[in-house]
Formats: sequence, structure tokens, C-alpha cells
Amino acid sequence: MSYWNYLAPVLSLIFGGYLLWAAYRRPNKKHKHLRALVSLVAITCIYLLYLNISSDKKPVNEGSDEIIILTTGSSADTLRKLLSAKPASKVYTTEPGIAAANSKAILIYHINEIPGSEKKSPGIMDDSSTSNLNSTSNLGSTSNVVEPAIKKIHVLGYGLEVNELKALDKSIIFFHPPLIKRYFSSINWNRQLNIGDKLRIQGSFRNMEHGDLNIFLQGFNTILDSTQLPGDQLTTFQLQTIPKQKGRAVYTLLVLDGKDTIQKEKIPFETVTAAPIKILVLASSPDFENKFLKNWLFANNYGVAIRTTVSMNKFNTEYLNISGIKADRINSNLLNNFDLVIGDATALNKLSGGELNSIRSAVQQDGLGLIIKVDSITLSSLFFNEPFRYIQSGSLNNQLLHLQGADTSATMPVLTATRPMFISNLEQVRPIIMDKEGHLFSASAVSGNGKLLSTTIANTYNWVLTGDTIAYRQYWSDLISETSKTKLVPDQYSIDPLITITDKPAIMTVESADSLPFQARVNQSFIPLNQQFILPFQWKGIYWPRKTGWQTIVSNDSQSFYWYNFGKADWNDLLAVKKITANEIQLSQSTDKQISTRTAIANGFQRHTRLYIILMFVICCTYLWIEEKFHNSR
Amino acid sequence: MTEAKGNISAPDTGPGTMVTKNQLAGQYGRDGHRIVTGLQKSWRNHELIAMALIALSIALPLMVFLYISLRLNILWLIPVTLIVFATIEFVFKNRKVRDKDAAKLLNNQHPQLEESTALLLKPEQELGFLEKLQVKKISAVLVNIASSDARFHTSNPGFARIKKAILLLTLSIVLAITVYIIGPQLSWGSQQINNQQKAGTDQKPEKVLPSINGVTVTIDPPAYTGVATRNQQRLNVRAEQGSKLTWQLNTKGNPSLVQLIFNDSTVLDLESINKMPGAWATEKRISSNGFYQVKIDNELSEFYQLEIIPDKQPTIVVQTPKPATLIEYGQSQQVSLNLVLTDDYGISSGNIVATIASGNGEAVKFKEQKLAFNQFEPGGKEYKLNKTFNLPGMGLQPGEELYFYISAIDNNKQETRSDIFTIKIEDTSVLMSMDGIMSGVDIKPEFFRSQRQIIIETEQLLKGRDTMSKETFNNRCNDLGIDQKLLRLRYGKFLGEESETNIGEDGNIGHDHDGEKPKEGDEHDDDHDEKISVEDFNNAEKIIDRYAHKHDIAEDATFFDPQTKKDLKAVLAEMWDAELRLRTYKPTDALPYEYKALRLLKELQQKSREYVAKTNAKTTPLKLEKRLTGELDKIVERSNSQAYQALPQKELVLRNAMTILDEMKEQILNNKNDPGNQGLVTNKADNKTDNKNPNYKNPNNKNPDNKSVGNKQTLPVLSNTELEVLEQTAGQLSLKASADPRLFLPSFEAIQRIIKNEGSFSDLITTGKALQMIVKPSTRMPKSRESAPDMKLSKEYFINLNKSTRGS
Repeated sequence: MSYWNYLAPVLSLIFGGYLLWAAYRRPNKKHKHLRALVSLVAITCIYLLYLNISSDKKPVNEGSDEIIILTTGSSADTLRKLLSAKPASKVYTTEPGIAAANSKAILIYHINEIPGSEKKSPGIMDDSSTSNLNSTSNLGSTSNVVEPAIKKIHVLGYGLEVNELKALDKSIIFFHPPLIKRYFSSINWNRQLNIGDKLRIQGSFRNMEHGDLNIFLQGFNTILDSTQLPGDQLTTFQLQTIPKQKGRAVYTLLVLDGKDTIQKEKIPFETVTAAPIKILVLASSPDFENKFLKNWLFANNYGVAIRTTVSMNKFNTEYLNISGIKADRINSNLLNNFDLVIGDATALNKLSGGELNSIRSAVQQDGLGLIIKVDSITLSSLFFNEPFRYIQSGSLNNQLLHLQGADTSATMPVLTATRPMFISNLEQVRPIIMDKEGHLFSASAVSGNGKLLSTTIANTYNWVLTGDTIAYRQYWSDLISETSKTKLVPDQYSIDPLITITDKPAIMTVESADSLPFQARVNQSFIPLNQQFILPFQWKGIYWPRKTGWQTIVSNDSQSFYWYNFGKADWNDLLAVKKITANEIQLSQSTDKQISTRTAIANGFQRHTRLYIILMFVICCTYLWIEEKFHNSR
Repeated sequence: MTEAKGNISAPDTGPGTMVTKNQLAGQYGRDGHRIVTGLQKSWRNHELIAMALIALSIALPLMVFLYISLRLNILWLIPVTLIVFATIEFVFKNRKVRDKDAAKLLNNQHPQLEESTALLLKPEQELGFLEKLQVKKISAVLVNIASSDARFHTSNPGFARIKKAILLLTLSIVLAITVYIIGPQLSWGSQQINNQQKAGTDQKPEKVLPSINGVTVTIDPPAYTGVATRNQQRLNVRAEQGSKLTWQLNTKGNPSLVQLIFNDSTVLDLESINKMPGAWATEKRISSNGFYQVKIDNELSEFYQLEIIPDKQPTIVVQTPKPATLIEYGQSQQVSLNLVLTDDYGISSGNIVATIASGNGEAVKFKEQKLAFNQFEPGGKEYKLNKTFNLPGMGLQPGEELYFYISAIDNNKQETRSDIFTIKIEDTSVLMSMDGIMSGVDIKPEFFRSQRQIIIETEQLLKGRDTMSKETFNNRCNDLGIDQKLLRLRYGKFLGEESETNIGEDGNIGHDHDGEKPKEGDEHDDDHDEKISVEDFNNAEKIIDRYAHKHDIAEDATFFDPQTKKDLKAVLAEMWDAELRLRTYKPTDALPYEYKALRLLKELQQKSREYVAKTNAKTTPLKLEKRLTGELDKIVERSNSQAYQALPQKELVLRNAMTILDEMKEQILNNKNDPGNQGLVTNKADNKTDNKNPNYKNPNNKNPDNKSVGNKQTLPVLSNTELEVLEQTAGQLSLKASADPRLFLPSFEAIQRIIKNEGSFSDLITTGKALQMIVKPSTRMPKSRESAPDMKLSKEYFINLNKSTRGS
């Protein structure tokens, strides 16, 4: 190879000399100087081209002043390229798997173990970088000097952890992340839901290739929802379904390109049964609305006490799924047993001042919910009517109401109403149910610690009579869930990050009313938890999950909480892209980001010079040929 | 050489050459001419053979293709070849070989002929002296050439073309064979074959007991289906409803007991055939879906499906007439019936059952008759039938009704009846009768009478038409038209239309709406004899009425409800039409409209009778001061307490079972995956590797779990409570399986294997999928919001907030 370096200029000289001789010896003496010059230029072009090409093939620097760190996702091609450029570079990795797969890689346990990787002062670093540039531009140089100081660190794959990066001199790191063309850039879903609630999976997917992809939600080998991910763009998507099982399950998210599965990810979640709510119903007269509501709640194990006025100060009281209380007088003791009071305005109005006051304080102090079924009593002096203003509809009898949920805009079947009342949409109320024209029929408002909800619809039992129990349940679930007292859970658990991976730390946070020292048992092993200084009810601990699948936390009061730990192959791209971004951000924060861009410019220039040389050569040859042709034709 | 001679002598018999032969009397040119024409003929023959070969080589691959794709008989090859041949012949017809061409060829091939062969073809008379000499010389040379050259007759372009054509034919045979072999694989094959193949692959392989050597199930469908008896070697059965199934089992050894167990309950013993060892048989008629097992001694097989193909009822689609047809006065009294009958196996009979109802009240009589379709021949699957009812021919009188329905019976004696259709001929006499007008509330009798009167008079006029002059006839006709108009105007009044109160009076000059002379109204005996009397002089309204032009009166428009108004408008429209005909002296044409108007009026009258007057009820007034003052002390308040006894929820069991199955699946998957997913450095290119997950080695496989995990995986051990849930689930699945074995039998088998802890990973998936199908979607229930324990931090905040707002 090396003797070519001498042979090439000699050959060029000889050939150039011949051409000069040929140019001057030509019988046609016209343009002879120009021809000679052009011939020389052409020969020079050939020589330059040779130099340029040979510089590509040649190892630029044979010293081992560069090291390569392999991380997960590093590509063998990049490694090969780097090694062919500098065969003496040392290859390190912290991953046993990579070390096993690649014989050149030296397995270390921490980045600190790399010799000479300590941070250097910026001055020296600057020097090394310029010399680096020189060496790349200096085409023929062959410096075999081995330098102990590392000038370049190539990081291959998804990148290093942040703490590892801190240990290295960031300014000499060259990051070679793989290009990922199709990946989830974000994903989330409700991991715990009540039975009957929708499992909603929302996320975004970047599809940087042409061609649409399809995304499917699959559970129990059945496709439950799907949508399309168009090519060359970032798409946000939402998939939803109402799960059928009770308990934990793992659904699958499939991304298909035609029939090829591109990605297959797990969606673990848990469905739980909602704890029954205790409801007190106050009715001024027996009616169907209360009867149907009572039957429905009763059959679903909800505690209901219903007090119906049958005559002056005489009540018919029923206690369903509830025992040990008497609802003949309403006081704070009685109200403490309930999460919600449903009453028509007349019944509430007829209560004695003391009774009404105890309801008021229960609502405003203890957060009791109150649903008011509006009738003719719309006095705003009453506390429960305070936030609401009512408008009597001017239209005729038998008006058809096309109701829909204000949030979900889920339409409900038509109801007929005689002179319905609307609730004015003031700023203090939150719309719950409205019709197509935007008239409010149910709205809630905050009253102290609790919530008031007013509804003017009084014949929802018609839905049950027509057989549409779904709309009925939907309507009453919305109303009751919106209003009822907030329940204090003894412990609340959360895991950070949301996607935990085997052999990576998971930070558990428990919020507990328990002030005793806290200890959690995760999969039969005890994890000590640390009480937080500022928020004393918060306890934190770290757990390193060892196996994929559902993990159980059992706390002091033997309550179980489940979370799913993903395997190392799950959500690979999502995590990889996150890591790459984190690395890039870290590296961009270092002072000397210009290096990589400068080398990039140099490379770009080199690539273009080759083009210019070829262009020049072609121009020369064309001139010689045309001149010859022109002369001959003359 | 002999061949050449034969060819030379051939032209002798050719009629085309006879003329030239006679003309060419010269002894010199004769032989030469013969040789040239002989060459021309053999050349032409060679060309024809080559063309035939080319035609064949085109037709052959084409035919093979047609044979594969359209199942065309291979004998079509001959006509196809002929067609191709004719086409080629037609296209290249100007390439015909003439004797000139032969001469040219000889000139080219043999220089010793001195370019003079063409002279041999010239008639002798036309030859000049020199030419004659040359002919003499040349023909000698030519004869010499022809006799010496053995390949004289084959050395022409036609023969060369034959060689090429043979090569082409060889190629085309090769092509045909290739097409024949490859064609069916490229699915050019007909649809039928594809379907058969599909049906074949659709059936999953079934497991039989090891002690069974062979199985034959004979399916004997009921005779009405017309489906032939068939045998199958599979135990999963799909048979027509009511088929007789015969099982023949060959067992190894000689078991003491062979049974079939149907739907987990009914047991059918197999009997030994002729006491032969190992041969067992039994038969059963199946009429519903289900599943069964084979039991040999104590060995139980897997479950096999019994799926029936139910026989559908015949369907009847009647295209005409409409469900209720009313034939009005003057319309054609023929009704045509068009219908389509279809059935899956065949229809044995199709009839019209018609009933004529005549008379009314207590004297009503029914006459039922069965009518057959002329075109009907039993046994077909689809019929398009029609029938024309000639109503007078069937004895249907005006006012009588024909009810009919179509009944179709299929081969399985299943009958379908169509809806009942009615045809009624309008009875004009009923309209004329006074029934219902004389009695009851008589709201608008005079108008009805008037319309009836107009009809009677129109009929009288028609009767007396021959006895009167044309002028009188026309006059009377016009009079009737005026009557009709007056009647119409009166009805228009009810609708608030513009009306003339003073028709038949003078003084209404200057405002003549219809351009008719008011005098004409006078002649008619209409009861409009209002005259302004002396007393009316002070009645301003009347006077104004006389001179003012009163348009639509709004007050009148509110007399009736919208429906009545609509009906009235229809009446008026009919009256308009009647008047038009009467005024144009066509009383015959006017009659139908008059009748229709009368009928509509009559209906209007009937409707008004449905009105029920409101009656008053008087109640004693309330004493308000006494209201709600009763003593209620001794009334005990009612109180009732109940607790809901939750029934064991079937759905809940299934929902729990789903979770159990899914968790088992997860455990298997995670145990499988955990050990082997560390190194990610692979030797593939940059982008490809990083984009794909190493676990998915087979991207084409839609269900990689299923295969990569393998079926040998043992399932995690279940707890007793979990087992109990799964057993209850199995119970529910067995019910589903007997109702729909095709869908649920595999999952029933799978869950049983899981319970016995013999299951595989795919069993979990099968069962989970079935449960997902069975379980109904859950609905929402109200729930309370939850808040995290925060040591009353938020409450403190709330209290402080309250304080601060109060303070300010």
C-alpha cells in the first residue's frame, strides 16, 4: 500500500510529461499552450482523486488515544467502522451481555474503571481537539505515536446513564446513537380502573418511514380497538375499550406494517370493584324516580336509606343494605354514616332549621355530597340553591330533551318533559348534563368542602321502562360519582418510573395516614421506607425488581398493591429514545459541542472536494476532446 | 427424385395450368415450365405446412391455459387451431407464392439460367426470336438442374420456414407443459377447486384414541334435501338437520365396551359388527348441535363437534300487488300477482289461498278457493311466478273483497305463508245508499245528497242520451257541471276559500269570478234563494257583502282540524275533475270522479261520528282551612329494613376466570423471557436491529407467543379457590359448547385440560378468547372519589382559607 504513495506521483509525472510532449509535438500548433496546461490540470486531478480516495481507506490515526464504550443498542456496523479507523482503540462495556457477544469488549463494572478517562482542563482538551482535526485533514500523515491521554470517547448505542456521563469528560464524547425510525415517543394508560370504566391508552408514535401503520389493542387474543398511524409524521393516538375481566390482566399493543408485527408491547392494568357508597334519600312524596333508583342501588349492594313523607311529619323509612341507624331525625351523627344525600327541593325545604343546618355543615365541613332534585322550590335563600339559578322553559308541553353528558358528550335517549327547567350556566357551576342546545339540566357546584349537584330531570326511570338501562346507569353513575364524599384511602402507592424494568431501580412512594415507621413487603422481601422530611406522610424506598411480571406490595395494614414490572425487551424503543435524548441534552450542555459539528463540516467539505475534482477533470477532458474534434472537422 | 417427378407431373391435372399449357405449344418451353410450376407448388405446400405448424404452436399453449382456467374440453384444440390458421392465412394472404416467385428463386439459385427463367412462363406466341432461342437453351439447363439436384424441391424458403415452425412448435409444447404444471399453482384454477382446498385446510387435525385403527362416519342426510349419502374419516361432523349418522370404528384388540357420550350426558353403546373382533358400529339421528366423545373401555377421547346445517323455511317475496288494492269505478278489473319463491333444498308446492267475502253484516259469506300457479313444477329451489286475477271471472261483485295469501311448502313439509293481501272492488251502490245518513248525527246531509244527486242525474243523462238532441244533451251536461261547481264552492267555504254567497243572484256585476253568467245558476234548483228583503236594508253586512269582494275568510278556516281539511281538499280536487268533464260534455268520464268525491265525503262523514263529547263532572269544593289538620299521633311510621342477598353471579365467575388465565399466561411468558434477553449487540445493520425487538424472530407470525413458547410448557400450579373458579367456568362453557360446538368446544376441552393441569399455553389463549366472547361488557357503577392520606393537610388548608376569607 505504502509504495503506491511514491509510485502514484511518479506515474503522474511521467504521464504528465508525455502529455506535454504530445501537446507540443502535435502538427497543429494552434492552442498548444492551452492544451498543455489543460493536460497538466487533468493529470493533477487524477492524482488528487487518488489521494482523496486513498485517504478514505487509510486509517487516519493508529494511536489508541480513542476509546469506545458500548451500551445497549449499539450497532455492530458502527463499531466495525470505528475499529477499522483505529484498530488499537479499546472497547469497554458495562453490560455483561454485550461483553459476551463481542470478544473485543472489556467488561467493566463502572465507567470510572476506564484508565485515563478523568476530566481534563479545557485548555489541553482544546489542543487535543485541534490536533485531531489536523490529523484528519492531514491526509498522508502516519503518526504511530501511542498517547496515554484519551482524546476521544465514542459512545455507541442508546447512551450512558446520567451519573456515568458525569464521571466522564463530556467534551470529548462522541455519541453515536442508532437511528430509530418507528417508535412510541410517549405512552400512558389508566393502570387501575373500576369495573365498567374505559381503559384508555393514549400516546404518540413517530413513524419516520413512508407507509401507514396500524396499531391494535389486543386483549385475550381479541382485537378490541385499532387506529392508523400515517407515515412520515408524529401521530397521537387513543385506543379504548371496556375490559371484561375483574382483576389484573395484560393486554397487548400491536403495531403492524401490513402483516408484519413491528412492535408488540404490554399494557398491564387492573380492574377493581368500586366500594359501595351509602346514600340517604329524602323524598317529599313517593315517586317512581326514587323507586327505580332505590331498586338499582339495592341490587348492587349500595347502602340506601330512603325517607319518604307520607303525611304531615309522618315518614315511611326504608333501610337497604344498612343497619344500626335511624333516620327519623336528621343530625350530624346520622349524616356521618352517609356519603351522599339525594333530596327533592320540597323535602329539603320542609326540614326543620336544625336539620337543614346539620346537612349544611355536613356538606361544607365534612364534604358530604348533596343532590337536589329541583321542583317548584327554587328560592335562592336556601343554602342548597345558592349557587344555582333556574330558568323556566317557555316552551310547550311534551318537549323532547336530547340529553348528553357535558364532558363526554355521550348522547342519551330522548326524554319528554313538561315545561322543563334549565340551570343557568354561571361561572360557579360545572355542567354535568346538557341538551343539544346547551341548556343545562344538571350542574354541580362546590359548597365548602363538599359538592352540591342540582338536576331538573325527574323522569329518568323512563329509560329503564323503555329498556335502556345503560343510559340510566350512566346518568346516575355520573351524578353520584361527581357528588359523593371523597373517600380517604389508608395508603396510596406510586412507582417511579411508570415503566419499571427488571434489574433497574424502582422508586416506591407510599402516602399513608399511618405515622408509625413504615415497612413494605415487596414479593416477600422487606423494603425499608424512608419518611420524607417536608411531607411526613410520604415514605419512599427503592426496590430492584428481579423478575418480570406482577409485583405485590403489602404494607403495614396488610393491604396489597400490585404493579407490573416490565421485562428488558419491553418498551425498548420508547426507553431507548428517552435515553438518547437525555444523553444528547447532557452532552449539549457541555462547553465544547462545536467539535462534532466542526468535524462534520470538514467531512462535508471533503466529500464535496471530491466532486469538484471530478468535475474539473471532466471539464479538462471535454476541452481536449472538443478541441480535437473542432480542429479535425475544420 | 421420385418425389420431384411426381411433383413435376402434378400440374398436368391442374385446371389452372391447362390454359397456359395449350398456349405454350412449343416443345422447348414445356418441360421448363413444368419444372417451374412444380417448384412453385411444392413451395406453396411447404408454406401451408409451416403455417399450420405455427397455428398449432400458438393454439396449444392457449388451449392449455383455457383448459386450466375455464375447464374447457381439450377437444376444442382443433377448432382453435383452425381459427388461428385462418387468421394467419388472412393476414399473410399477399405472401402467396406465384410462379413468378418460383422463377425468381431459380434465377437466384442457379446463375447458369442467366436470369431468364421468367421467359419459360411466357406464352409462346409472345416470345420474340431471341427469346425463343433463350427458352430453348434455358429449359435444357433447367431440366438438367432439376434431374441432377436431389434437393431441388426442398431448397425453397417455404421448406426453411417449416424447419423454423417445427422449432417453434417444440418451444410451444414446452411452454404448454410448463403452463400445465405451474398454472394451477398460480391460482388460475377455477373457484371451485379453491373452495375445496379451503374447506380442506379449514378443518383442524383431530386426535383419535390410540386404540382406534380407523373411523368411518356415514352421513345420510334426509331424503328431502336431495343430498347424497357421504362418508368421512373424521369424527367432527357437520351434517344436515335430521341426518342419520353411522359410526364404524375399527379398534385394536377387542375392547369390552365402546361408547359414544353425547353432550357429556347421553351414552350410546356401539355394537360389534357380526361378532368380528375390533369392528364396532352404531347409528343416531341428529337434530341439534352438540358434541361427543368416544369411550373405549375406560379411555376417553377428546371432544368432537356435531354441527347441524338447519333447513331454512321457504321465503316468499311478493312484488305486486300492494297489500291493499282498491279497484275504483272504471278501472280495469284485473290484478296481476308477481312473486318470487326461494328455498334451500327445494319447494314441493306453492299455492294461492284466496277467499272471497261477500255480503255484509250478518249475511256475510266467505268462499275459499285454492289457486295453483300454472308455471309451478315442484322440486326447484327458486321460482319466479305470476298470476292474473280476473276478478269478474272469479265471481267477485262490486263491494266484495278478495283476500289471498301465498303458501309455500318445502320438501321438508315446512310451510311459509305470506301476509294477507286484499283486493276490493268499489261498490257504487253503497255510496248511493242512505244508510248512515238518515240516522245518527246528520252534519252535512244536504251536501252529500247533492253529490249523490249529481251522480244520479249524470247517469240519467247518459241513459237518455239517445233520445235527446245533441244541444239539449250538452246543455244538461253543462248544467250538471254548474251544479258540481256550486257544490265545490260550498265545500270551499269550509276551508275558508274564496266563495260567492250570492250565486244565482243578480247585482253581482263587475265581479264575476268564473266568467259564467249568473243567470245560469238560477235555473238550478239549488236552495240558495236569498233575496235582500226590506228588513235587511239596515243590515250593513249584507249590503257590504253584495258589493264588496270578500276573499278567503280566515274565521272559516279554523272550523276543522287539519286532517278533516286535508280530506275536504281531496274531495274538492275530485269535484274539480268531475266539473271539468261535465263542462266539456263528457259525462261518462266524469262519473268516476263523482263517485270518488262521494266516497271521500262519505268517509268524512264516518269520521265525524267518532267524536265523543266531553261531559262535565262536578266535585264538592275543598275546605282549605281544614286541609292537613287531621290528628296523626296514633299513626305509626312505617319502617322497613332489607339486606341484599347477592346471588352467585355467573358473570363474575367468568370475569375472575379471565384474570386467572391471563396471569397464568403472563407467568409462562415472563419465565420464558427473563433468562435470555441481555445482549443487544448483533451483527445486523444499524437501523434494522435497533428497530426490532429480538424476541420477535418471526414477524410474519401474528401470534408469536403461541409458537415461540411452545406447547410443552407446563402451567403454573393453581390454588384451590382458583381451581374452583375454573371448574365453575367449565360448567358454563359446556353449556355454550353444546349450543355452538364449532365456536366453544375447543375452549371447553382446553379449560378441562387446564383444570387437570395437563394444559398447554395455547389452551390458555383459547379459553381466554372464548371467555372474552361470552362475557357481556360491564357497565359503570357510581363510585366515590378517592384522596390520598395527607395527615389532614388539605383540611387544615381549607380551614385556614375559610378563616382568612372571613377575616377579610
